[in-house]
Amino acid sequence: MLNSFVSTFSELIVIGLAGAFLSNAVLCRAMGLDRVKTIEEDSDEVIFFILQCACSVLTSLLFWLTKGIVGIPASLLDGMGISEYYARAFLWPLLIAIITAGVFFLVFVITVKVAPYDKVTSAARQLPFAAFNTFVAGTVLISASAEYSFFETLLYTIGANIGFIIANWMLREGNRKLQNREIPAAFRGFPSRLLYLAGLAIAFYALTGRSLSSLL
Amino acid sequence: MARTKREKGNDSFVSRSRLMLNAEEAQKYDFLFFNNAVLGQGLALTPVIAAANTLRNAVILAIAAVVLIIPTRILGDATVGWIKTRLRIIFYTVLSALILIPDMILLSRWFGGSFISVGLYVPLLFVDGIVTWRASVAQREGARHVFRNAFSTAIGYSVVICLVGSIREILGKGTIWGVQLFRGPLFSAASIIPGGFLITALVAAFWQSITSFFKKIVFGGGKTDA
Repeated sequence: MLNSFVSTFSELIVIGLAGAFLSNAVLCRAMGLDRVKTIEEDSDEVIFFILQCACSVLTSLLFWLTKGIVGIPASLLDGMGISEYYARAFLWPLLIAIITAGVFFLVFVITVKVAPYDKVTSAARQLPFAAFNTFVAGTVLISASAEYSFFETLLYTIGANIGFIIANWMLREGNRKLQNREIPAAFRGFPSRLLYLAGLAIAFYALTGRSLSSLL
Repeated sequence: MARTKREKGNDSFVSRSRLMLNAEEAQKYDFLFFNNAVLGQGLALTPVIAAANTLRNAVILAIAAVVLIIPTRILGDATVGWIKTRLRIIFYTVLSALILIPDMILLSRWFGGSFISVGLYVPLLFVDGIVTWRASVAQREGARHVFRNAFSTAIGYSVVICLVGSIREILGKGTIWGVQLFRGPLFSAASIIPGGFLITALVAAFWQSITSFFKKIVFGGGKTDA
């Protein structure tokens, strides 16, 4: 009994860590790169992270509960000669978009009621982007494609959001160092950022023990 | 009446200023080269870096984006004023998810099995900045203007993704569109994500040098930062 509990718990932790490091949305999947740029300009990172995490977790779990609905139109498309595999790929994004819109309004109502008075405006301003980031970081689509269980989805989503914030923080720190006049003119700005990201991505790959031959 | 040397000089200055203004105006609305979505604005980097490691993948992603960007932007522009600006990003997302369905049906018919190799990256295009970028625009721009901008943005993106895809395929696999050019890969890492960052950075640096050079010729000076 205890052994099975420990093994399940450790599996969940591994999935959470995988979301944060092994398949880091920004550095290992190159997702949300333009969003990272936007978040850099936002001042209240903590509020943004809380909102993004809340929206992602709610969307992922609601999608996990409702993704069976897609089977009905998928079978109709199957009759038109489009396989169920493709049909899921077409219909999942639409379902996620609808759920995200619902989650956005739910989190908005909760934020207005729960957030401290002086933080409400900042939270409301950042909420559309936080809700929208659920797609951009690809957490819902990845956990659905991997066919994770309810708790695995929960842990993966939290881990992926932590990974997104870690990458964002590393980029912000890196960008301060990249504002250097000694960088050749052609590489100033965007190209040097991409080179820095290449270095970070290689470091993350090495950190998670992946070799080049295993990736090719 | 004979014109003085000074008046002639003034005329020449005015015509040169007009030329520069026209060039500035043209540059402002040029989404193909000067304001390229990928290299100039840092949009749609995910498919370029993660999925475009062969020319075939790049072409699939380019067609997917062209079919998605143009109708989403035109329909998005037609609905300006219906929904609050801050909420438009959510509306845009639902709209592009709807347009994505026929887009993906078309691609699966055309490319069959090759379509699977781009994985999640076609479904994720519908939330990419290149599609939703204009969501925050509060004023209507008109269908013709939107079509022109969306078309040049999509073509600019397609050129870059195909260029990066070709370079990565040649270096990473030694082939182009599956045709063997070299005995083996020249730089295997070009096929994976860190290689994608690296090759895109080099292409962006090259593009930055060219734009800077053009700006120097036209305006007598140019910004080097993208």
